[in-house]
Amino acid sequence: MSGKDSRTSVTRRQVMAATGATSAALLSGCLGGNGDEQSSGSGDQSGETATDADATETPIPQTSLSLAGWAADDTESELLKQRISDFESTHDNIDVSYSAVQAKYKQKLKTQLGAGNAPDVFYVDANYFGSFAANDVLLSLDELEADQELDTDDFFEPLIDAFRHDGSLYGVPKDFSTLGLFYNTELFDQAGVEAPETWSELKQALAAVAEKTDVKAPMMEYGNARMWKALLYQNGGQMLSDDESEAVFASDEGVEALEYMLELRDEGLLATPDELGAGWHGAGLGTEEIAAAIIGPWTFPFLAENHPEVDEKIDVAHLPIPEGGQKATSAYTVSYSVAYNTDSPAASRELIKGLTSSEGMQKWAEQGLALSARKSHQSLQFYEDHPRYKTLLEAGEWSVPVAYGPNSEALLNRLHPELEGAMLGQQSAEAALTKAQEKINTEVF
Amino acid sequence: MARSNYEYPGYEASGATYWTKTTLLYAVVSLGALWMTLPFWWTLTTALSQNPTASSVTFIPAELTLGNFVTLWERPDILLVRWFLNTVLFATAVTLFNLAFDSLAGYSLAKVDFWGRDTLFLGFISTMMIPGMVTLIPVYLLLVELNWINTYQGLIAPLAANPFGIFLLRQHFKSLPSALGDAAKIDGCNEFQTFYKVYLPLAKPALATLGIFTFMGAWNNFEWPLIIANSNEMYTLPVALFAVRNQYFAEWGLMMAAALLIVAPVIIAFLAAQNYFIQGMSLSGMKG
Amino acid sequence: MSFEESRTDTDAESALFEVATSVKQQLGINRDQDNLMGWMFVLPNVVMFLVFLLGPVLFAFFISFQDWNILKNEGTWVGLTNYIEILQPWPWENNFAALKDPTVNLWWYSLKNTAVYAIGTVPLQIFGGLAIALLLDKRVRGKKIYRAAYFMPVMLSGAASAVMWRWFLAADGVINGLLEPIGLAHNWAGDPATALGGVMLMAIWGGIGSNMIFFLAGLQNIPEELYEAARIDGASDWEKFRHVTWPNLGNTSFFVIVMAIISSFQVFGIALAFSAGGPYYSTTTSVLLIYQRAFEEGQMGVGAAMAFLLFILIFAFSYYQYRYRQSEEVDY
Repeated sequence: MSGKDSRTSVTRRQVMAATGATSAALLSGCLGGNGDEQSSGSGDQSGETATDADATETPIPQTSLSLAGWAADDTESELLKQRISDFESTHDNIDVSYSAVQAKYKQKLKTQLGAGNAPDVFYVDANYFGSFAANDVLLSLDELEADQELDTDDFFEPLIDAFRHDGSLYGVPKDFSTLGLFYNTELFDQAGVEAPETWSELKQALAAVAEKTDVKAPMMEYGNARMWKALLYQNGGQMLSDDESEAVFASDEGVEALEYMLELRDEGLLATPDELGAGWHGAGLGTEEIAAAIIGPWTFPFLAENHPEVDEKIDVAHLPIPEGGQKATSAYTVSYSVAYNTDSPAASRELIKGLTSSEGMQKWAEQGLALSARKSHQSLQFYEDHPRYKTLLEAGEWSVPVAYGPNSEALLNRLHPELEGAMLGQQSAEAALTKAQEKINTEVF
Repeated sequence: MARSNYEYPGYEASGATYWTKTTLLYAVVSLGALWMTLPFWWTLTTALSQNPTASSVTFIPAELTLGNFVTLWERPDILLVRWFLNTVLFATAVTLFNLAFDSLAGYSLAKVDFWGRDTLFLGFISTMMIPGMVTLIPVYLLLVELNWINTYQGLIAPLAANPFGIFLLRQHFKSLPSALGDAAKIDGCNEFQTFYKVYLPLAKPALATLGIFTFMGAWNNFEWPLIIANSNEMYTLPVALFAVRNQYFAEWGLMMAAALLIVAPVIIAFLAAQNYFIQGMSLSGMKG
Repeated sequence: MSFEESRTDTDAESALFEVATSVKQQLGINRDQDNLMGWMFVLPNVVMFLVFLLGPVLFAFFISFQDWNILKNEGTWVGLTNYIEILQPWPWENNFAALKDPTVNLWWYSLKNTAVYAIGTVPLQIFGGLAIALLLDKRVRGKKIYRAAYFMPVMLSGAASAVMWRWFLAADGVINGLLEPIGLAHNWAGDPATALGGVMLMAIWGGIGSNMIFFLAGLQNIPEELYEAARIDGASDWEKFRHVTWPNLGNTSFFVIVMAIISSFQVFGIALAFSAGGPYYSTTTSVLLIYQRAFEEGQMGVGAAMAFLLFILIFAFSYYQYRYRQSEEVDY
């Protein structure tokens, strides 16, 4: 059983907010991120654009910066404010005013950008990063690529690549979350099963749990089949074509992955929150109405705070993969980015550097809201002490950000309801994916 | 009701039929009333239950606790007082603007003989035909341009005038004798003084009705603040309830406690001033 | 002409007019001054209407031909593209598949949802309201309490009633608690086949009360003598209703029906708060689709075009109703 990684000062809402995942998403189907993960491999182009190399040497005049992000409540704001005062104490000439938006952050930011009065530095979810970058509302951060101190090579490639557009960097990941298989060790023991490693093992394990324990359903998943995106990549499929010019998820691999989920569902092994009367996976795990769920690190603080006894029984494994498939999971990530029209580009870059440097990122990640985006942090004592976090962190290596180019939001808005239709038994896996793909390729691309 | 016994059910019928009819009447009306009010009871009992289940709250709650209200109060992301004050400010401002603007226009259209008056009135009335959702997008974009998104002025200004109010008050002013104004003018009142000192006091009942009606509409308005308020601290109660619903989905006790807090002031106000509300409602029906 | 129109007043008053007219002339209050004051008084409203109503309608028409970029707050001209993409494929081209399958064309599907909602709620709201009004118009003990009970749902914000009904109709909700013993429990709000029914049930619940009030007011205005005359003629209850009550409620019922249909075409808040358009688009009404396209996806041009299409529909309907009513009135 894993060690205790409870951080009772953090509530579910903070964590969900930190990952951009609110429980609202289960209905609106907007949990997804977006980004453009296919741009991997473009990581070394920074030299071409870093003409401004002396920018970092020119002393920055007395500057005040505005920074906006979301925070579900004061506790989370306080955590970030501490990081900001750390930064200010080493940068006498930069004064940062931070504002936490507690609700419709994205809408607010979009209208501010449209009106030309956005903050200097702000969070950008990978989900809408693509549309921001494509519309030239973000400032290139290529100078930071060359910065030895920041060392962008240390970031998990899929994460930092999610914030590249046309070969330039427009955001630095502030943290990330991956999906892992959360399971109740006591219930699994009762059923006589171990953490599954393959799809068929998962199915058997869930069947055993269904038979031998009195859970309401062995596993829970949203109506919009959130985990399907990870299963698609595990099975060798992909969301977009290599040149990102069209959606290609309705491949055999994609259909097979969804059919697998529908099988679980038809056999009563997978139920939606709506059917179970629980708001989300964490609540289901906490009340032991379910034994397993594919979910992310934002669940930990919720369990620790609300269901401490159950929390001790929950362990995390990497996602099971299909026989002969490859490791993959979904990643949700958020960047610090800079407005195209900022008055203080140099100071903004400096702030981002301070918050995402090895030291800054470590301090932030150790709050337990989300995972450090830096590979080298896998050896941190914090992760040794918290093996469940470590499992989720390791998966960063093979994670695929939920981010699909400039039209990511529109794509997911059309995909999720079709997946929901399939999960509700309204249509077959193939029909759902084919229809969604066709719709996306005609309406979105 | 000035109606006499003639309408009494089964007035002319024999005793047995009369009783059957009366019983049936009361049964139907009572059943309907039960359907109307039971949801409020369910909301109350659910809000007072820690772990509401269908059977525990349907009629008599199994346990009573204020836990949900305490939780709501303690959650740092739930700004009950702020939301309440936002809603009061929003609804009051919208009401005052409407009363001021609409009474000016209503008076002028009824009592001042100015060039283009009838065309203008027709113009105002025909804007009632424009469905709200047509202007939602352009007004939003206009407010983006003005930097008024997520501000009180953005919430209030677009609702500050309403053709229905103009119509209602014009009809009322028209029903008041013009001689009053002429007399006032003989006494040396100018047009504004005539309006303000002579006619406006006489329009109090209509103003009260329009005021209650407008206030209620703004208090309950969900769509407009949903689009304009982008941050927690700018929410009005209906939008806040929607946010709570999304955040705490399936935590029914908590959601119903939040719903109750939003509903209670309106219901209390209604029960205290029932006649005004119903009169306001009837008047809005008269325009047809 | 204000003086002409005011002639409905008493004789004494009309005598005053003449005095006043001459006084006015003596005081030099002339048309110029009336023009100035009149326009001054309506000015605030005129400005508000131009800025927040008429201007925006024209602007909406303009952006419905644009691909509007919310991030830049500017658009590019795309001609009829938005309209074409919304409307095509035409429903008759594919045997009306769009009415069954939301993926074929979401606009037509949302319109179907809207129509189902309108047809399912409007008559029940109206007849329910009329029936209760007729019953309460009689001498019923505790009438005030009944009236308050029926009116209470009207006082609620759509958001509040949607949140409440979402719980009543949840899989583990109160209504299933009642239906369980008779074996009719069902995940009402979570099933695409029944979710819209849930929204409609809620709308009927919230709509009867206001119609009841309108009809009660209308009933008050029917002269008692008409009933008296009918009674002397030996009319039955039904005949009294058919020949006295109903014709005399003409204005009220015209207004109530038109308003109910127009507002049912614009339903959006309750569907959003109830189930966010889901499950599987089953509660996606036309205005909810407009909201999602415009404010969730930022496609302002598409949203504006959809809004105009709906506007045309509502306008055509209201006009038809108006003409129909006019032709009916000739018969009286």
